[in-house]
Amino acid sequence: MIITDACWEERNLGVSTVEIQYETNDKLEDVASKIKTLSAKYIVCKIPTTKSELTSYVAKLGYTYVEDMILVEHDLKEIERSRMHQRLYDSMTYREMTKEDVEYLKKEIAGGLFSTDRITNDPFFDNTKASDRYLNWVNDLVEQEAFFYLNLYKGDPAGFVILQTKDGIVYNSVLGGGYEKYRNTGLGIVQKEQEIVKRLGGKRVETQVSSNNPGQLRALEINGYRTKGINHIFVKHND
Amino acid sequence: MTNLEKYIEAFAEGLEIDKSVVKEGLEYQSIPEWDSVGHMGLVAAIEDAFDIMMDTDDIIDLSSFEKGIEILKKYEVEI
Repeated sequence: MIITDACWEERNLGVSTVEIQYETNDKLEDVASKIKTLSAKYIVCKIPTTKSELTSYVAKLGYTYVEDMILVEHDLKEIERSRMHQRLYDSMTYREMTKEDVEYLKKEIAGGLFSTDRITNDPFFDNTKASDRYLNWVNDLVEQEAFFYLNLYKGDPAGFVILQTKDGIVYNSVLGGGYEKYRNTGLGIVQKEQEIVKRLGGKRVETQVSSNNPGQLRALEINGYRTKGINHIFVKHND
Repeated sequence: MTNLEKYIEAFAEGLEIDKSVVKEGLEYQSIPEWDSVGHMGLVAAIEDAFDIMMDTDDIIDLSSFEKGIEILKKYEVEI
């Protein structure tokens, strides 16, 4: 198991936070002795779906199931699109974001761009904290020189995607979404990151999607993404 | 078959839902089936039903049962 003192979340959420990523070879007795020593105010447990004995165990300790995080990957091979998918795909372009574009993105986030994540849906945290968390994250990604791209519909900003890579081969699509003006329009079906990563010289792109966002999961699947792994996410708030 | 019947059938076929669900008030995201993937199937079914090709501006503007009827007037289809 990997235990991380998520200090960035303390800045975002105002409470000490620990994240535990269980691994497939973890034994229940080891987990039991470790987990009881944790004293952070907010603890997030990520449990691979193969470890069903752990899900029952953390539930008994008062942890609440909040979502599954589904890791998907794309090998960048061209997919066959339906005629409608292709028309929408062809209507969208992309370009690198400017500083002004990033400022616009922050306004969209402050306006409630994200609604399916575990912080937004946690009654312990208010929506301001959830959007502040994303704003801090975007600032961090700017500092880390992540790849910011703007998606445009007929030249008009319609959404964004932010990518990171450690080796130039596998890119991680860490954050993305559609802007308010183009929400509920069907344009969410258009995924340009495969094209972007190919142009950047990468061989694969990965991303994660919450089970609380089934529409996005369907969109990823129809764009050729395949499931690589699933973690059950449990959380606990300590007094 | 009337245009309204064809329109309702296109909704049911495109979104893969029962015809009884297709009525005024049905909006994008109001049912799980009408997401971005369902939207593509819906527009394709409407185009096939009325033998038209919609502009992408109209595709992304088709946000409800009623809005679809309004958009189809541009293609000389009266529901």
